[in-house]
Amino acid sequence: MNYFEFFDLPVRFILDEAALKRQFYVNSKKYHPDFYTLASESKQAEILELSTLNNQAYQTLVDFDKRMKYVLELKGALAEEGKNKLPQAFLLEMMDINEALMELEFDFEQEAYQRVLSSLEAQQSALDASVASALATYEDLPEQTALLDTIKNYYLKKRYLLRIKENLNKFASL
Amino acid sequence: MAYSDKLLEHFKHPKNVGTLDKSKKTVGTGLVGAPECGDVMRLQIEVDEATGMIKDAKFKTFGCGSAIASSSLATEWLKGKSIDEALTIDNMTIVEELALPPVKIHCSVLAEDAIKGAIKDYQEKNGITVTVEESSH
Repeated sequence: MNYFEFFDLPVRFILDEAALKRQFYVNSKKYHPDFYTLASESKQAEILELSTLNNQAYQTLVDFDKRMKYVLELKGALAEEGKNKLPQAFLLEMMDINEALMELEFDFEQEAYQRVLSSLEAQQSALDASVASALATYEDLPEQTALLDTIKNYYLKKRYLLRIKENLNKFASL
Repeated sequence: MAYSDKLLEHFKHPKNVGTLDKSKKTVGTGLVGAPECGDVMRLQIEVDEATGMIKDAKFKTFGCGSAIASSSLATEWLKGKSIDEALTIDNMTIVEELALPPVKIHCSVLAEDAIKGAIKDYQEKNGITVTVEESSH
């Protein structure tokens, strides 16, 4: 049973988060180990497993990025680590941003910092805009593999931008 | 997790960090990435036209310590090799040399892909038949 089935929700990137939370609370009560202290050992073990699953599934689905990764894996859209390739042009851009970032580490300049920051923000919003409709249209239909591909590229590119952002944040306090 | 001394040495004092002029015909550039970690690696070779030997190799890697060490080691190994010899470097040799832990094996794969990318670029630029096989990983 996958996490979506567990919560009786359709497989989506954009999720009814209120329904997810509601179902999580219902399950939390239903599978609460305290209600089974007098049950058989195997029943107790089963309940413990279900309550663990409930928590794991919720933690995954409630987080947009984790959910995205989960759906991509569920649908077999994400290749195993090391086999996911991105276009050279994108890697070049990432190389440039990273190089600019490294120069900042050696020699901090407010202007250069702002340039990297705006470049990153521009990339991020262009990327977000490019995937918005794919995320919203996806309805777990077999003919939607092209959408999955778009979303996969978005997911992978976002990893780069997040890393750069983390590095940029180190300067924020300066 | 304990890292080997060799790995730490390459990480702390990476060899051959830098850039070669990619507009030169004798320079081949490989650019690869490991999106899962946001790593990007550029590896370049410069081939001596007279001897066909790789006379220089440089890299720049933004990524974890193992990715830096793998590419540093790769550039060391590339220098003085012919293209054919360079193509025999595979990721498991890097894994063994640096004693990379299993979760970091993809860093060595990245280095191997970068080597192949650089060689392919060099061969294409010079009208040589590309002898790089598609990545087997």
